[in-house]
Amino acid sequence: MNNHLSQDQFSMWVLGRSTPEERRHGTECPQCRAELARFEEPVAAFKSAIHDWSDRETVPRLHEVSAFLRRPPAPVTGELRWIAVAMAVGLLTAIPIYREAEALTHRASTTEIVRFPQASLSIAAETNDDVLLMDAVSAHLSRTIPAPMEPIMALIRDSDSTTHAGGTQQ
Amino acid sequence: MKDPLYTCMEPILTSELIPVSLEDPVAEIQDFDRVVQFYWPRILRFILASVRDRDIAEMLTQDCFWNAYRGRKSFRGDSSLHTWLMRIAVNSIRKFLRNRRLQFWRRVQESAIQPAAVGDWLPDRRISPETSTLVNEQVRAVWNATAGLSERQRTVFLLRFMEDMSTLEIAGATGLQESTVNVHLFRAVRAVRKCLEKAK
Repeated sequence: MNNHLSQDQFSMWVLGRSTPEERRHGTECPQCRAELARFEEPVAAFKSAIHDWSDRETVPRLHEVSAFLRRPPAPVTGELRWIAVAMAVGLLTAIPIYREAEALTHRASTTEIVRFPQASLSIAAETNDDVLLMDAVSAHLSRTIPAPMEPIMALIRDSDSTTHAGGTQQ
Repeated sequence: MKDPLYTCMEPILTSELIPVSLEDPVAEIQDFDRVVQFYWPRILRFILASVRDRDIAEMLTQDCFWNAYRGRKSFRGDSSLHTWLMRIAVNSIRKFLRNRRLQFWRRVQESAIQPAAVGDWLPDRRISPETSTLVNEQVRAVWNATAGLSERQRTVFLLRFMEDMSTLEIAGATGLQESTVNVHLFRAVRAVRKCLEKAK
């Protein structure tokens, strides 16, 4: 391999996915080695620094963590807060609209009675008719024989109309 | 090779031990305290490098361990404890960043870490002032370079180069496919290299 490593080949080297030929060139070629060091040295320094920092940090004991964790429930945050706000706005908007609609309906029915008293009387009459019709239907259904035959049945004596044992009717 | 402590802590949260642990809650808490002592620095530094704010990093680390404690029964041992905790940390960070995007009026972060302060992380070793300055610059350059990465690229970059996790472990911690992790890593490395070149 005569050419130096390309940018992508350097990236693959850093990730440990270079070919054996690239690896050989990377270790033999001083220029490519220096190029690799320009990435690896700062990253190693960063890693070492942050590891040293975190190792110096005081680790809380579990009871301290649990004391923190026993805190009262966290205030509603993020999306939940937005949902709560949207629901509140929706309620505030819906309540007056509902009240207005209720008032309109009530007003309309009152106005109807005041304006057209005859109409309300006819409604009452219709209601009475309905009751009478229902009574007639009930009476019809409770008949034992059809209505046209009722005068004939009046001529037959009660004893003649009874059913004898044996099942036949005279 | 696995750290002996790491190995001995692996079964702490396995479901087989839960009935035993429940019988002895004190022992269970002591076991989990050991997990906190061991993994706290790892989780804290990863979250810090991700959110770049010390106060938020500490809060999210506490949340992470609390979630781990509450969800310990769901740990089946399919992945290592480290990977499982990292996954909880990655989810906490993702949730936090998503919420922060909505809270656009809270852009100003009072405890955000400034690049100049990153040099203070270096331990007080007996190194020459020239070397110290050089290392300081290198650390700051990488810190700035990671700031320009996308959330996913930064996550995979930090897990790989700061936590030395394999692609498979990163896939387990992020919930991404291994091939996707490789793509993000490749792009992250290229972007960081470009930034480092510019910083020179």
